[in-house]
Amino acid sequence: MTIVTLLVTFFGLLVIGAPVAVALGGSAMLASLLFDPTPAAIVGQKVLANLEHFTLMAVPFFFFAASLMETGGLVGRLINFANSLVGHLRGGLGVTGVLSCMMFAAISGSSPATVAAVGRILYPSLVREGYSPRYAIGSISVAGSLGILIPPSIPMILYGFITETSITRLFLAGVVPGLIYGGGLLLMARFLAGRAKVPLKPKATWGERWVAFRAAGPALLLPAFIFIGIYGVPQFNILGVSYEGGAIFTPTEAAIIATTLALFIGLFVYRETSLKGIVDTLVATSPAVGMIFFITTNALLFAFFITKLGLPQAVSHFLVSEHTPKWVFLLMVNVVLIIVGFFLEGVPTILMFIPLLFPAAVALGVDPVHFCIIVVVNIELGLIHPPVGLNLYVGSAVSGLPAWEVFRAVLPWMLVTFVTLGLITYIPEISLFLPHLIYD
Amino acid sequence: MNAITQKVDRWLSVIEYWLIGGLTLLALTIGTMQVVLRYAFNAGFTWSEEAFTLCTITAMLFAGSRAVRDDQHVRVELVPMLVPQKVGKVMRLVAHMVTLLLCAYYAYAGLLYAEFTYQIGSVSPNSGTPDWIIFGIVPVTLSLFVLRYIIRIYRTLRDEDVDTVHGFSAELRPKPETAP
Repeated sequence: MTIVTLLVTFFGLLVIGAPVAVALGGSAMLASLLFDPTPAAIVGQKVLANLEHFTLMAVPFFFFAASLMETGGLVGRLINFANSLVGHLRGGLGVTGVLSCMMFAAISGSSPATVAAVGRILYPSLVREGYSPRYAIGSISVAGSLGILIPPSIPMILYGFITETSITRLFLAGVVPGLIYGGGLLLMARFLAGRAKVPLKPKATWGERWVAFRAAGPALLLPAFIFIGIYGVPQFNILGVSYEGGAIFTPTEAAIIATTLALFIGLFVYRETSLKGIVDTLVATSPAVGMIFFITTNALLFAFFITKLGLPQAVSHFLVSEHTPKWVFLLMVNVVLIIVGFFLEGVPTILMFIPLLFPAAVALGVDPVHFCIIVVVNIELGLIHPPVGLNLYVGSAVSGLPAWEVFRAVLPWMLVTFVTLGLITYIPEISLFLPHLIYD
Repeated sequence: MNAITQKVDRWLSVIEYWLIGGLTLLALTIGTMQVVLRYAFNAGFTWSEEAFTLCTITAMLFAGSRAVRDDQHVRVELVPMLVPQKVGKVMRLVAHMVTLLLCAYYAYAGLLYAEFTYQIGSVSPNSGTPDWIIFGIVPVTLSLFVLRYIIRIYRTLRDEDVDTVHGFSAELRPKPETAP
């Protein structure tokens, strides 16, 4: 009866359009009040205690770093640098778009932020240079989804937080899949531009490249700082100066430093923002994070309640007792997450479904790190298909094209996403190679 | 009544703006100081991590209230969009009311726990801050959610509620589609 009440309330609230956070928290509270009363004061304590974790603080600061990069003029310079390197190739500016998304993804942990930041600058240039609006917005909307695969990544932080998996391992596991996905998109950018016979641009001279590199230098420092900070430098002992190797920062500290650097560079190096501009940027970015925090605390209340009821254990017990092969389970996970992607965004998907699926995955012998990368690529797919694909709406806002038109634009590019998903699901080494190399 | 909701909305927006901006900058300053002290000088304060975390959480819960104003709390909008307009309006009203009730319950529950910690006089081991101040964050921020939802219910009744696609600031929302 408790489970029925929980599920009916949960789906009922979702259907009438209540926020996902409320569907999670409301159903858990109602079922708890009716059948298994938890003292109100304990609920009050949990609302805050669920959020009081240093790890979770990486989420707002990676968001802020990405926003400050955009308003501080860092993104424009990164794009100019990428363009000076590959802009002369067939489909060069399209390739620049994908490459810029990959660079920005190495600082931002959010896909919609990547589409907005790169798209606002690059979309008008692409159309001006003779690319069709469909090509322009399709490439950026799909390449923007790399934002959550190439570290840092907000969904990976949340996954690590709720499953207690090392976030630095998860970040590292995203690198090779991110490069494979990015590489596939670069090839698609070239292929589609070649088919459309987009005019070629003259090659930048080495002098022009040097100027672009110098301008982008401070912005390029950011991903380097994050990467070296999180993974450290190898052990050394030179002339009596020794370093034992290993990580320098935690992911949260890397997020703080990335935000401070983005603020400093925008304010004092590029001088494209002001103190008022910075406060405006922080306040404008924060509601998206406030939403994540509110879902997180409600999802953890929900998870606490379903764990008390033994629901995740029952699911994993059922799958193990039925001798479900691993490949069938992973196929089922992909199908479920693709369907869920039609209705839900990445953050609620992770917070709602991982507490349920994770114990089953572990019971069937799926590596938690590999499982995270599969989930993240599924979320990427959800970001680019309707009706809730956020990248489509951001792409629509950036280009002025209707969301449906943006969806048609991303269709050929989605092929790369599906191929990447298949490879990552069934070849775990793609995700696990780097974590094993560094840590084992 | 409309003038009152507008005034409350304006005041809430001003309060949220300064609290979110101020607390985020404070958290950033404390966080940066902590990293620099730890890695450059091998020093630090016992209170800094807790202060950083609490400033960030408080700022983000105020931001959650602002997200109510901007309709940024993620929801599945398919059914309310497909049903007739009047039914959709009733569904939205029920959804807002349930949300208001849940936020009010959390605010009440948070107040109970803060009161409990006040009575037993417990303090945070790291910073010595009384726990009632720390747990007072919940009733204060959730009360703002409640006020925001009262305004939204009123506006929904008057067909003036924000009609937006979730997840974006106003600047990023898609432009209305024009007929060909």
